[in-house]
Amino acid sequence: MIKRSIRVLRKTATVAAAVAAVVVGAVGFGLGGVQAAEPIKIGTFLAVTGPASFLGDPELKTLEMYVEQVNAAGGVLGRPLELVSYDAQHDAKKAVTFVKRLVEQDKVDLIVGGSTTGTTMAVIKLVEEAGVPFISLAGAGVIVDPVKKWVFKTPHTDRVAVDKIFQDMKARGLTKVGLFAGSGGFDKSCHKNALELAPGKGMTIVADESHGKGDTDMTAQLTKIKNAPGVQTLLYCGFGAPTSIVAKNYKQLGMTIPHYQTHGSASMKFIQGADGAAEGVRLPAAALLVVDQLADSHPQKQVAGAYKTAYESRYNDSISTFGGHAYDGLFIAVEAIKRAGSADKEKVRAEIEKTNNFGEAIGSCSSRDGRLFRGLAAQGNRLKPTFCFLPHCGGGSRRGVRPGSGFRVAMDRPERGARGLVHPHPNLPPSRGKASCPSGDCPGLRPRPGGGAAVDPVTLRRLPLPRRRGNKFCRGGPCRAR
Amino acid sequence: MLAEFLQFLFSGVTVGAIYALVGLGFSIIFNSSRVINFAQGEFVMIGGMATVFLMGGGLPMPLAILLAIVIATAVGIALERFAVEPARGASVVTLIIITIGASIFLRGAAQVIWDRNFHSMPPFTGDRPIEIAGATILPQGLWVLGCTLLIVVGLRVFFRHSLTGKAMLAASYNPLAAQLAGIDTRRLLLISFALASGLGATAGILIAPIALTYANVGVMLGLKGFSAAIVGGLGNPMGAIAGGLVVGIAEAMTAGYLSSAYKDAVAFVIILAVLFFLPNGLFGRPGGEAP
Repeated sequence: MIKRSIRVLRKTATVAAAVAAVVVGAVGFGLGGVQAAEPIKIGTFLAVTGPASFLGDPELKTLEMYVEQVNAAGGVLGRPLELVSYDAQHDAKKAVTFVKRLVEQDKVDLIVGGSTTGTTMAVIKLVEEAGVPFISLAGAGVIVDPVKKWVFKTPHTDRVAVDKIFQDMKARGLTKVGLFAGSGGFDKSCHKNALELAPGKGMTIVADESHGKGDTDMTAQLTKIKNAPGVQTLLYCGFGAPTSIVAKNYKQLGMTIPHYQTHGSASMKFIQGADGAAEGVRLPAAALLVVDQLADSHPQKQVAGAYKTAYESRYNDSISTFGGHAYDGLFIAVEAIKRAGSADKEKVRAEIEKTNNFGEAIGSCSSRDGRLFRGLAAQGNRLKPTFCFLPHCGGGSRRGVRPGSGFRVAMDRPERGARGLVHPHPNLPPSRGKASCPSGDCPGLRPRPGGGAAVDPVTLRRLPLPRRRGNKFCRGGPCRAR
Repeated sequence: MLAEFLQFLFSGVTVGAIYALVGLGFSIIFNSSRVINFAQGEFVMIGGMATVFLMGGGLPMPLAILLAIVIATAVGIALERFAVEPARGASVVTLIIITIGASIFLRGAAQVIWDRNFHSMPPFTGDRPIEIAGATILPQGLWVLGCTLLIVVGLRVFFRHSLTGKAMLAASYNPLAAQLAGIDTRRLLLISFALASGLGATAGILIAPIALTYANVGVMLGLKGFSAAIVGGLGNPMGAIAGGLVVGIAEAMTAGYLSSAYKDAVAFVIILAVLFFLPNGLFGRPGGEAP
């Protein structure tokens, strides 16, 4: 009897839920269709405070500033943007709570947020079920690998960075790497990728050291690396204060092997913190950081410069790539809404997916020609672009990669888009649609027309095709096959 | 071989000295109140951050350092006056929880008042590494060791020969008897907080040129300092010094000769082992006593 009544109850509940869903759906549809002046709600959850606040703080500031700006210019499709923001700190549980609130209570149209990989991963299931377009600002490749229907991300990944670094090492004839990593999420992921990518790139890891969270001295580990037999170069994976400490300890020990770090170190703080010890450290980073030094003709000069001016004058703080990721996320969304002609979630999602040659990009992979990662070397008091990495996610070849998902996949598959270029000129000539070499044409670097065919749609691995065509590199002059 | 060993030793001793200074703060407060002050790491942070920002404001380094120690001490006194003192009758666990709350508050306040970035501080005297038998140590490392030594000697003199120091010892042995003898134990508690926060700030300033400083720098340093105090025997300041050096050297040697992956684990294994065989720490006597 009891059992039966429970069953009945359950059935009733199911029916009720179904009815409710239909009603809510209809109401939602009605609202979207009728009230055109309703604000478009963009939800965000960032690590505004807490240990990851160096990410969330500039991200939120950027979003706030540009939402204001877009609204002042008349909004999108005649509707104002409304930013609904929660501070999830570096806490996956909070992120889940807030995303639930964004989806169910605030009924946002899309979400741009998630400062860290941990908070992003925690909410993926939620947004997938709710069907809300979600552009993450976190780093690790695992977010979009495997591909999820509603999830996108803007920053380049550790995998891309390591790949680029290995390319540069190889070009300099360095193959025996002393690997050193911290214990944070990014550090570990970068470390793992370095171990994975090394064999394929012809690199040998001859030393593999790590340090703990909050460590103050790494001379012991560096001494081991220094004394490792055959070691030719040092690669440090990490971010925050340890990056500077490593540089200082490196100098203290009188080490001379070429020193590489990742985009985790790509900020002025790294150089200031190292107190002169960062001299000569090489690292890949977004062009945003060196926008002052870009040639006027550089495609990112104008946008990145405008962002820098706006941000710095408003907040009296120096820019970081993290804010750039938020800028990209917001404008990828805005452009997608414009193209979709409505804030309808499915349409917007489809448009985000089609994003290609995104013209506004600052810090991420979606830029016009994909030329975002620049090789920087610390010189004196500033980062100087001394070598540059050419398109790792460039141009038109992406769209066809996998119907409807090229954009996000491409960013995390450097092995596909990677065509390493190293040349000594600090500034590159402009290029549209095709990557360029400083002098002469570089046919191998053109996006492969319909390049998507080269990729297995299931595994996303590159298929054995007439490949190697793109694998050329040039050094200041005409290209040579490697 | 020797050069390698020396390098690990220098690294361990420098870091260990900082752990020791932080551990000292734990011990001093524990002595006077039986409370483990988990905000101790935040004094380390305040010392470093205040110095950096005062110097950024144009003050010469010695003045900035002095002022930073004064600020940290004032914060320590305020913590005692407004958070610990009002809850004086409460259980020790309650007081410990209050200090944890205070540490979170101080970290947050530092992020708001200063900022969330990390900052470097110029070393006191040059950054040219000094080479000894193939190993190198920074002049700042010598500063750390020298200042730690000075502080240890100073504290010993204070506890052995000054009336206040003796009163603090007496109160730690037996608070009731000390009170009956006319010692104002409440004032002593205040003094111990002032002393501990001043020591923490000093540690923070000494390490800042080596390890940088940021709003969360105190979290791990505080934990390591706590480990140092436990290893040495809670409540025994000289034990905290020894404990700090043991933890620091063990970490460096593990990273150097075993694997850096086990570095932190080994430090904690040592703590467990010490507590297992010597429940009162290396130098502690039952109940935790001062030298």
